Order: sequence, then structure tokens, then C-alpha cells
Amino acid sequence: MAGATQEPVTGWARLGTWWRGVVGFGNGVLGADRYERYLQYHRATGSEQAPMSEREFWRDYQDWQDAHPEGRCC
Amino acid sequence: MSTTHRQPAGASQPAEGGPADLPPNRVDPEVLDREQTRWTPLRIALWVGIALLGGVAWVMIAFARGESVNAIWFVFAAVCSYFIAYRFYAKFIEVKLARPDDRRATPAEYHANGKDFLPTDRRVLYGHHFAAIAGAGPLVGPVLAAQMGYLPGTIWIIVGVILAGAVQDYLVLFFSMRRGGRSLGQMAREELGVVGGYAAIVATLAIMVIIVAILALVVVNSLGESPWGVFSVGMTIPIALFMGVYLRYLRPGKVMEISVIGFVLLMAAIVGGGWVADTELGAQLFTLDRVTLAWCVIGYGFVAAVLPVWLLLSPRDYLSTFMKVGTIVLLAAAIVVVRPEITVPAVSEFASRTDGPAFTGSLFPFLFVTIACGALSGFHALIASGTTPKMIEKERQARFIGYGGMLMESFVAIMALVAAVSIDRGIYFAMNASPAATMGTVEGAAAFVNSLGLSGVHVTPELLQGTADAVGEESIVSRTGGAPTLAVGLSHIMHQWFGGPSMMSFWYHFAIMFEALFILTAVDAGTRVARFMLTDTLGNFFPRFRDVNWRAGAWLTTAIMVAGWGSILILGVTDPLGGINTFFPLFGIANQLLAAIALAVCLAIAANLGRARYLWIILIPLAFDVVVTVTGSWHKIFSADPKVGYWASHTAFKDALAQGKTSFGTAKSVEAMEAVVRNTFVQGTLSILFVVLTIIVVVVAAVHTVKAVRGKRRATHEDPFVESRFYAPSGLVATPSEKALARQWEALPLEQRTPTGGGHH
Repeated sequence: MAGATQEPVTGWARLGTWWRGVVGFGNGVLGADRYERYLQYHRATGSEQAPMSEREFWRDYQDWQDAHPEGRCC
Repeated sequence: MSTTHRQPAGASQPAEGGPADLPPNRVDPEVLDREQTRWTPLRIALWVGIALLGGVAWVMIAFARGESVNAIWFVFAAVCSYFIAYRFYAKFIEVKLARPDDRRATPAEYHANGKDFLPTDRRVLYGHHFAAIAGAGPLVGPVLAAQMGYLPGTIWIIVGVILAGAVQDYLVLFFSMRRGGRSLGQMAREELGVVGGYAAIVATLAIMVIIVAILALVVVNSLGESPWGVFSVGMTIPIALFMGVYLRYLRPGKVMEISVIGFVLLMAAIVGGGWVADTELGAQLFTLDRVTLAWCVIGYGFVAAVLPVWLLLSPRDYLSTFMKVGTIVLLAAAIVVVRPEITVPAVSEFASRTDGPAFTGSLFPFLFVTIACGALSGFHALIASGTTPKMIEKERQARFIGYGGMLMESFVAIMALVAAVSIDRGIYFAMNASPAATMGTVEGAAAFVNSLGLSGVHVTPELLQGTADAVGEESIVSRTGGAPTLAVGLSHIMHQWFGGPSMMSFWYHFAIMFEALFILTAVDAGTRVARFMLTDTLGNFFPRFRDVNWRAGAWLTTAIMVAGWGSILILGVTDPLGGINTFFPLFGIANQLLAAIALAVCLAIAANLGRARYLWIILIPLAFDVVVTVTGSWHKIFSADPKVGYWASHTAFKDALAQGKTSFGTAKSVEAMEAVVRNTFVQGTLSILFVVLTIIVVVVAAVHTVKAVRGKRRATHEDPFVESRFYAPSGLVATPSEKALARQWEALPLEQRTPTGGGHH
């Protein structure tokens, strides 16, 4: 991070990468990264329309969830 | 809007590795095979080491006849067995039976819609799949099975998962993935025709009802007469509501942030529960008897299933997932750090008897149905079809997600078993004997347990009261259902690592909390799924039910499902014979019968693919499972021993009533006797229903299989081949050539390298 000397930087950087990996994994498992993935999906499909805003997306997704239940096991 | 890019039939395909304008969509199978399976000296040393360590661990568990055995050997035996099974048996199944093809696009790619069809990184999907399949099941079953000693349970959990549970999960996932992510019910209809299909759907619905009922019974038993537990678990509802409002209106999309906040509030609720239960008002307000609690759970189940999901269901699910991953890691670390000594016998006196206090019946078949989740769980087939296959990126990843995910659940079951056998055997039996046997008092419990004549077991009323005080409960006598026993075991292990004896009560209620959270999440999600299955089925006859916006229909079908499991729950809590020990076998049998249906569907599919030489991979678990569940059902229906057979018990109590007796066995009044007559009738009828439906499905599948093996194959129901325009590695760790290819793809612009890319919309 900023202001650190050369040696700790690599240590911190490695820790930072590791931590970002853990958070990214956690976000993925929870489904917290759905909006970012929607944006990717939107971009990749080359749609002409502007993508939904974060708020619109979550509202749309939650309403969609209402009609598409996902099982949870025992 | 759904994006598909089905290739027109007969379209020319590039000879090597996919679309010409893109890098190859797979690593050459020969190169991959060489990298993954070639024997280098280092690999030979590694696998010999794993095999030796696993072998030594098994010897320590099975044959060491010392005073005690250390829990770490359970971990080594399990983990080494899993590695070997994953590397060799799962690989064998992949190569010979499944035969994945990475050139073939998965439903996540050709049906991508940004919602449920969503290609997901394999490691994330592994966690997601695990969080969906694992819950309280693998925590509860092994605890009850511990009454027969640790060895039978350990062998079944590890051998069972390798040869049965993980095979089922993997193959259902794989075949569903080849069929656009269709559900088990839909696959059954396609593969087995109308009769087999409808039998499978009705069986699935009935089994879901019984599973939800028994899970709810476990929660009610662990919260009854426990103001601390009721307060802290009750607080999860306002916490979830707050999270729901936060995500809907305050900060949409900040799921991780609110999950952390929710977790902190949850911990506060556990600590606060201790204070509240200490006050007179709090104790008065939150000491609820089991019948009242059962009605609360029923009311909650209904409300949660009809409210919009953003308000209660999905925030609860975030909380539950967050806790699930966290607690499993915590529990594993604690067992490795604390390494408790196990002093209970490997095989207990009850292994050769049928009158165990925790569950009745002989080791065969009842041990194999008591431990369902963790070894073989049919319920997983509902997740492995329908949910996970819509998110998988590449066919080769199915082994890691399906087989590997189930291995992790099995490991959870092993940890639960270790926690249960690390506590004193006397305490274990005092907690798991029915109130009818212990009179619900410490004196009665001590007298009962000491009268069992178990070697090395001597409990005193003081020991039982002392344990209850240490965990902050009024009493631990007859806290049946497995969850409280696990909580005592967990607090016993955790306090040696964190916080000392003064933290035991926190850890106890922490464990009760996460079990209740998992179960209540399964209850509300299960009710909703069952409701949609019911509207789907009814929609075939009354099209109005297909309209998801028809509120009256939604309310009606929800009410039917809730009434289904709710009535069984009420029977369970009022059962004079103890409830869980007579109902739990039904849960296990139901779950295993669902597994039989899933495996039967897989068998028919594999036979139709022409894999006759390798059908034994499915036949081994299917045959064992059918023998276990049919024998179990047979005992429950026809056994003349009233302790085992539902109808024997039914007739015995009916005759006693007819003779004008006012008390019989553990039922002390005419009403109690009438309750037994009623309960055994319901249990007996359900047993017959489940086993008949399952036998229909298995027989239909067997007929189709024999026909296919004789060369009369049906048309395939696989989705047509679509060339993949995407690449991702297969296992947890990518091989060098997989990494190199993945890097080529990463260098491309997003529009070209994502599965939905390439200008299709």
C-alpha cells in the first residue's frame, strides 16, 4: 500500500491479492456480484439498450426470484 | 430475454477445437489426460503417502483397542479416502460413464439469460452448490447414529459417499446439464414415461413434505423450554426483515455488507439471549412449550412462503449461507486444533439390539437410513438437477462440483459424528432418550441411563444438571432430535479452543442458532419449492394454477403444503412415544427413497446411452439403497415388534383401548393412547405410500434399462449439440495446458470470451 517500503509492499500486495480472492469468492457464493455479472452479460450480448441501474437490476432480480424458487437442502 | 444460439443441424464445425475465429474451446483430451494422470515419481510418492496415512488412520479407528482414540484420525481417514475416491473412482466414472465433452456448450452458455442460466466460476459454484445441498441433515443424522458406536457410522458415511452419495450427485448433475438443466421430475417423465414420471413427481412432493416436517420437529425440540434459544432464533426474523428492507430500499446490491451486519446482529442476539433468559420477564415470555413452538413454526412457514422473497426469504438465505461456510470452516479448524479424545466404544451394545433410545431398530437397515445426508441423500438430486446445472461453465467441471461437493458434505457429517462421540456417553443417552423414558427429570434420566447396563457408563443427576448449567439451559434431559446433542458436543470442543468453560453456554447457543437457521431456511424454501411443484402439477388439470400472479392460487397451494408438513409436525411434538425416535426413520427412509428414484432415472439414462458395461457404477448404490429402504419400510410396516413396526404398535394400542385400559406402555392416558393409534396410522400409511411409489419408479426404470441393454434404445432427450464458444479449466487447480489456454481466452475482449459473447443476442 502507499507509503510502505519495497520489502513489505510485496508482502502486503500478496496479502491484498489473497484477501481480494477470498472476498471475491465470498461475494460469488453469496450472489453479491450479480449486478457486475449482469453488466458483463449485457455488454457481451451486445444489446443496444442501456443496462439497468444497480437499483433497477436488483428490484427486477428480486421480483424474478419470486416466481423462480430455489431449493435448499436438509 | 433469453439468448440462444443453437447451431443449425449439419452446420460445418471446425475439425479442431471449436469456432475458427476463437482459441480452442477445450484442451486436447490426450494432453489433459497425460497431465492429469501420468505417473511421475513425485505423484507416486504423494499418492502412496496419502494411501498410507489413510490406511493408518483407518487402522487406528477400527482396530485400536486402547482407552481412547484421537479425533484427528477420523479427519485423516475421511480426507485421505475422499482424495483417493475423487482421483481414482470419480475419474473412472467420468471417463467410462459420463464422458464429458468440453466442445459441447453447457446450458449456462446456450441458454444464458443473466439470471438462473449464468456461467459461474467453478470454485464459486462449488461453494454455492455446497451451501445449497448441505444444511442440518448431515449434522443431525450422525449424532443419532452415534448410539451404535462411532465405527458403523464412520464406515457408512465414508464408504457410502464414495460409492453412493457422490455418484448420485455427480450423475444427476451431469445428466441434467446435458438436458438444459431440467429437474428430476421432468427427467423422470421424459425417461420413464407417464406412469413412472407421475409416480416420481408424487413421491418427490410427499417426501419433501415429510422431510420439512421432521426438520421442523428437530428445531422445535431444540427450542422447547429454552428461553435463550427461542429469543435468539426468534431474533433472526427481525434481523432478516431489516436486511430485506436494507437491500430493497437503502442500499440495493450491497449483499456482502448487509450479510456482515446481519452476522454481527446475530451474534448480538445470541449474547443478548443469555441476558434476556436471565430476567424473570424474559424467561416467562420466551419459555414456550413444544406445541406452541410448533404452531409458531407452522405460522412462520406459511407467512415466509407467501411474502415476497426479498423481504424474508432471500435475506435469510444470505445469512444462512454466510453462517454455513463460516461454521464448517470453524468446526474443522477446532477439531484439528483441539483434537478431542474419543472414549466411547467403536461398536456399542446397541449395534446388536433394536431398542436404542435415540432411534429404534437394528443396525441393518436402520443405521443406513438414520444417516442419510452425508452418505446418500436423495434431496440433493433436486439441487443437482434444476439449479446447479444451469450455472456450470464446462462439462468437465461436473466431477469437481457434483462429486467433490458431496465429499464436503460427507466431511461435515464426520465432524458432527466426532462432536457427538466426544461427549460422555451417559450424557448422550440422557439427552436422546424420550421423555417417556426419563420422566424429563435428572433423577429419572440418571436412573434410566444407568439401568441400560452400558459398560463404563454411570451418570449422576448432578452431572446432568451441571452440564445443563454449563450450557445455560434449564435442563438437558430428553432434548431429542440430535441438534442439542451436537450443540453440547460443539461447545465441549470449542470452549477448549476459545474462551474456556465460561464460553460453553455461548457456543451451545451458537450451535443451536445455526442449526435452526439452516433448518428454517430449508423449511421456507422447501415450502415454496413444493408449492410451485404443486401448482405445476395442478396446472396440468386446472390451467389457472399456472398463473403465478394468481394470489388465491398461491395462498391455497401454500396452505396445502404447510398443512401437510404442519400436521405431521404436530403429531411429532405430541407423540407419547417420544416423537423423533419414531419419526426420524421415516425421514431417512423418505430421503433414501428419493435417492433410489434419482439413481433409477440415472440408470435408465445411462443404459440408453449404451454404457451397459459400466451400469454397475449405478447398480451398486441403487441395489444397496433399494434393499436398505425396502427392508426398512418392511420392518416399519410388517414388524411384529411394537417398538419397530408402526402397524404392530398401532394394533397393540388399539387392542389395549378396546380392552378398556387407561394406560399402556409409555402412554399414560387414554388420550395419549389414542394419539399413538393416530400417529402410527399416519406413519404406517406414509411408509406404504413411499415404498410403493418408489418401487413403481424403480421397476419402470429397470424395464427401460433391460430394453435398452437388449438394443431397443429410445430417442435421446439430451439437448442438441451446440459448439462451445468459451473455455474454463475443469478441476480446483488448473493444469499447465489448461492455464495456458485460459490465458489465451483472457487476452480476448470481453465480448468475445464470455459465453454469451460473439454477437449473439
